Amino acid sequence: MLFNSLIFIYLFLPLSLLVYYLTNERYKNLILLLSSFIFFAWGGISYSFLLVLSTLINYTAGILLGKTTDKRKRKIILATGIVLNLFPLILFKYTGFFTETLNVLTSVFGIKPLTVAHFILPLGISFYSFKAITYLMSVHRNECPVQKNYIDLALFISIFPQVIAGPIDRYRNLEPQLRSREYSFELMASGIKRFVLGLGKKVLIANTLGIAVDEIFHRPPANLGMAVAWLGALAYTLQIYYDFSGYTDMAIGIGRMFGFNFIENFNFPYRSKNVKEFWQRWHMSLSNWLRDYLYLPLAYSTSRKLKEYKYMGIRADYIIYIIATAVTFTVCGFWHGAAWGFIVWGMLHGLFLVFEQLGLRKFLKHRIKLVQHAYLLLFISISWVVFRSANLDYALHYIGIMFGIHAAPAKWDIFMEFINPGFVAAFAIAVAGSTSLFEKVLGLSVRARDLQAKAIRGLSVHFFEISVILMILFIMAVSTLFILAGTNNSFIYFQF
Amino acid sequence: MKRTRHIYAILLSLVLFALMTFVFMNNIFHYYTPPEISIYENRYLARKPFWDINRADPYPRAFEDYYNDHFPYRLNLNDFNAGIINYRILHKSPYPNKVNIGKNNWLFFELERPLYQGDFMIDSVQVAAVVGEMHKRAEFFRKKGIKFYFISPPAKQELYPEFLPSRFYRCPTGTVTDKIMAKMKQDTTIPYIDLKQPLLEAKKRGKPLYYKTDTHWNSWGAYFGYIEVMKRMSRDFPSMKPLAESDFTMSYPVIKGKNLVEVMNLTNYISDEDVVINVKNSVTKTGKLHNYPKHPNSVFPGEYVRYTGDASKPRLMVISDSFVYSIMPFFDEGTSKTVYIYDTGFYGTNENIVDDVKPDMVLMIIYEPHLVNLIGIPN
Repeated sequence: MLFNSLIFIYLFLPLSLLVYYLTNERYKNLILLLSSFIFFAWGGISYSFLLVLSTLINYTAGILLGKTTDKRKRKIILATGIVLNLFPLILFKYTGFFTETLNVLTSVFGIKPLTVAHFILPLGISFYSFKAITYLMSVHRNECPVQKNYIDLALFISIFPQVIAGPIDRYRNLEPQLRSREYSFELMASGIKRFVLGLGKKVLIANTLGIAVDEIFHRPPANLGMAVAWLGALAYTLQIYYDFSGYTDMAIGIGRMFGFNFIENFNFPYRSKNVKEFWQRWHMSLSNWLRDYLYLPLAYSTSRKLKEYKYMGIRADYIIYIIATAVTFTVCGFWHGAAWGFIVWGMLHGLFLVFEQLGLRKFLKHRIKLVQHAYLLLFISISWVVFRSANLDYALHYIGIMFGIHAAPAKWDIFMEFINPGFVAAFAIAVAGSTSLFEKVLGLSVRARDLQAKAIRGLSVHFFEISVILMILFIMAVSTLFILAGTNNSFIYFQF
Repeated sequence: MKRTRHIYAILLSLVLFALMTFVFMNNIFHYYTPPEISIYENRYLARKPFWDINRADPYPRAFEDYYNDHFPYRLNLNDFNAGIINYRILHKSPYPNKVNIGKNNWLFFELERPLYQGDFMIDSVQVAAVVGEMHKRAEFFRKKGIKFYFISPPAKQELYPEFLPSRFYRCPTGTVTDKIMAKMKQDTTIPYIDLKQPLLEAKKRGKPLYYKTDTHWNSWGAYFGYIEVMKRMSRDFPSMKPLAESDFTMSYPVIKGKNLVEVMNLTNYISDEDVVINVKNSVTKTGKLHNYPKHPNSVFPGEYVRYTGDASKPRLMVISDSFVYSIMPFFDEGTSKTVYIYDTGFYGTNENIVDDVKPDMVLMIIYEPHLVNLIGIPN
């Protein structure tokens, strides 16, 4: 079930809320857990057993961790728990990729290719597996007590707003909220606003841009043209942000409706001035997870092995940074998808982080802000081309056309066909909402913003609140219209 | 201030909750009854699935289809979205995944685009299988001593590529149809009559051959197709004389947009020019139907019977798809009896019907993108 589906908005969510709020406080977690299982099972009933299994494994591992203080035993339990969490992820997500890669390598020696069963990727497996690991890590590091209540732990892993696309919340953040939550109409209203805002970002902006993006990235390189290639790259840069952050907004909003405060996942990433800052603003729950559970342990273990100050003229701290960054971002790319495009995308980010660490960031710091933003946006757009392309060969051709390396006419006539009023509106709103351009264009300096805030305060509170409600209703109504259009299933000949 | 905000928080919560419960409240208050059939979508609405533990996995999808189809006022809301928001305000196709608006408001069926651009391909074994199927049909009729002819009306984009959106491109290495036709021409037993070149020639005369808002040819397109068929038929049956342009008149009334407009739910917004034929001194009469069994899913009549009563003329049977409608008036005049069989895209030999009708000749009409239907690949 998707948040932007009619059945979710107009059946599952209101019914879940109704039952939840009519239930005694004691059983609220149970109701939410059952709702979460139904929500998850909607995407594939067979696969929902995997989620149940994951909750049982982690519950057992947690209990076992709590029963011993022996460091070695605790390490073994933790490692077993992590392996058991990662095993289904690897099996379902990466088996095909590994087999294909192996077949390519073995074909050189004339070895018969291996065939494996094709697995359907269970919904949200990358997210809930990582979330479950945070529980084991928190317990292992004694950051949180062992969760002895199965319902509470199962709810942490499978809570439906987060189960499909995060945020990958930390156990230490949600643990107190699993015990008790406060409810208020203010929190409910803020949840509704956040949910509807996310719905609009996903349905009205990301999906509108997505129509053009899908078509552009489907074109053979010979039929692209420089103008169209740039349009596709920029539109996808905006689409992926609005798609993902819209979904996160919906998740956070739903969480608030049920009395939870989830962690934030995005903080205007395209306002960054370098790649390091980008990762502090983009998919923060994942980058923090990778930092805490991969990068830092790796850097720490590497540093213990390097005893000298310099190796081959390179400072040891740089070597540690390079190794930890390279591994972390390769894993980051691989987490996003089982294809070389994702791996290269991750490696590219790692590479530029290293460049920045080695001096690029210092160099950029002395340039005007426009140059810094331009660097970041150019890099990000190109990296998204790698991420979005069907394969690396296509990505290279695409980027070649963007920069005139592969000679191709601009194809302005094709470009103009994509520029319909709906696309332009979505693109303009997306740019305005993700960069500081809007504020700059309107001249909203700090002083101007102060003046504006005073002006708002001067306005009638009633006028302001009613405007907000009307705006929320408007976004909800138009989004519903757009979703409904997706239910049109016309047949040109017949389907009776 | 705090109290006011609290009141508005309650108001927003209640308003949104009321809106979200609006759909399932319909089950209690019944303020909206959806139709059984969605006319503009050309289909039955999804029915409520039965829960069966042994078939649990498909249930959510089926229930969601049912739920979506029965969303209150769905058809009216989609009508508003298609016509006002998309067409009038955004100037675009409301369903670009189904219909594209080309130059001069010519409409093109998106689902035929993969065939045109080469995204839909079949391998050489499958190409040979398609040709093999047609070979079997040719052999079947040859053994029965029936003259057999086969035509494949080209897709609209093959004749009017100049009206396609600029972003459309023809597969540089040739489409599936190109490959099938090239192979078909090598098989001398298949009496294939190529219509593409003659229609391109006819187009130069300035006659409209296809509708702007439909996938089908109009009466002019059908006429020029008919002429090509008659060139071959009259060699085998000299008593058959093709209708000359002076034998009929054409009128051009403005009508509501046709099938592609219906798919976009824009019949109230887009019109088209029809091409209506009136055969002078027509001697054709509608015959009694034989009521041959038709495909259970078909909403179209499975057969049409026309006769002139002139026993000196041959008897014709046509196995076709919807491209038959515009070509019927022309063939009607030149035969003693014509039986048209619409077997809903199967293009079978219809052996029982053939034995009953006892035609002197059989014409098979397969719309170009449907050629792959012969080997059971839906396109």
